[in-house]
Amino acid sequence: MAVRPATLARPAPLAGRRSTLRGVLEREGVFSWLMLGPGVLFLLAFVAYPFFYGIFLSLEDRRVASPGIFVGLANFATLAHDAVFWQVTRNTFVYVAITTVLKLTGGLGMALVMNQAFRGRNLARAFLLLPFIVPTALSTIAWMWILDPTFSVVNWLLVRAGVIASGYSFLGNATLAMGSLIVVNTWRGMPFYGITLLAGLQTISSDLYEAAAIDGATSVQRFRYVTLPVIKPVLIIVTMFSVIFTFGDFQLIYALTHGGPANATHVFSTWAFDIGMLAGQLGMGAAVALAILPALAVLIVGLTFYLRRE
Amino acid sequence: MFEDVLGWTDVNNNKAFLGEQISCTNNASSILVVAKRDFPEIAKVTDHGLNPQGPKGRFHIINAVSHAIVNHAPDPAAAKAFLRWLYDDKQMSRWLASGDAYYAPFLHGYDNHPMWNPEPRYLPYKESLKTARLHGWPGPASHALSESVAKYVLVDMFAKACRGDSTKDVIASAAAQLKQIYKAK
Repeated sequence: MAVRPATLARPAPLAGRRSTLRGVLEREGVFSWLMLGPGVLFLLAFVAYPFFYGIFLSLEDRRVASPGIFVGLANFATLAHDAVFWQVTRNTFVYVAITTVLKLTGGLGMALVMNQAFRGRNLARAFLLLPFIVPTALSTIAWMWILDPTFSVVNWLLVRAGVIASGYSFLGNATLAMGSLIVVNTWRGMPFYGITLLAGLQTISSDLYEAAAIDGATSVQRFRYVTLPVIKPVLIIVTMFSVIFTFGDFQLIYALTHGGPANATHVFSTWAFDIGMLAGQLGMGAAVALAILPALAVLIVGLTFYLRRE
Repeated sequence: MFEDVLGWTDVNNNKAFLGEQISCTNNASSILVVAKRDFPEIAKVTDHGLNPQGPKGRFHIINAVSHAIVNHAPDPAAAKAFLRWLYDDKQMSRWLASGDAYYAPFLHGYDNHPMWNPEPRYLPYKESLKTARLHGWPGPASHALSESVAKYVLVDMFAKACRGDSTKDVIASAAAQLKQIYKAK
């Protein structure tokens, strides 16, 4: 006797009978949109609307408590001729580029270490994650103390140890200020790379490593030919997220240097805030904030295509 | 330490003074208020004075704190009534007296107000009103002015000169910025 496998097929509804609400809801097309609904609404309200409103604002000469006057691309034209805008652009790209490289290499190293089995591994993982978990406002206050011109603990230690005669100006010297912000951002962001890449590493079957070892591959070769290709998609995605977040980094920079000294550490987000909120020039502030968009769009599209190709 | 100043934000001069790094700074009464509370030895040797006078006179910056009612307020009459009540001497006096001279009143009617009595070292703040000017004086208050202040055009000009950039260059770049800000309005 042949046995047919069980199927999910339901008996067809009786002819002439109307479909029930339940029947409608259980259709995949309807149910999936129902489940996505709250998320989509949230994105529309808190992401899409402000984004399009920001574009609209950037095309207006709009000050606080005044109606806007449509000026087209005049705000962008003004910015293109502003030397400070180009300095802010340079600052932002330098900040993002260096922190990304540092976080990527550091995070990968962190993930490789955390992937090993050793005593106290779980404790080590917890500690390594702390910079990312601690609220930014809190960690920024701690760094304000560490880098403070008067009370810096780093300077105090170095001076006491006789290494230097007088303290470094971590937030007053233009180069050191950018360097300090890069260090703080790297410190905070590395665990994000670490934990995400660790998740990717743990999907790699140990059989692959064993096979490579049997073939005589050194650990470097195993890393290059086994680890890297498998985690490449994860690497690209986490880099993409991190770059997007770092381009929009605000609170760290605003709290530590407020964009100073003399615009040396202003990035798009902090300068847009000063122009929009302090000067009340909402249109110009929106234009500055949107200046990040072309670079980000190119990056995201490029990475997405690269991923798809993979 | 000199270079540190270039990266100072609003609180750093207070900290530097109370940390005995500097002995003179431009500030409101907050340094003395905190010193009296937390650093009594420093408070004993702290006083206030007017800004030095230059060839064109004596000047102080005024940061005006005021209230306004927007045109689109749903109930302007109630807002005005509230502000009248708030600015009535009964309320205003109490607020001024509680402020340790952090805020100086605009009106001459308050020249001999009891708020100036508890601490004679606050009297220079009352005197400074005579020579206090808005940012950009003698130019008019305007959107362009507030943009140039928010962008720290003059502050950065001095900062760049202090860190060693050529005086001619920093003046030129600040002038170019101001021209751009004012022309655009």
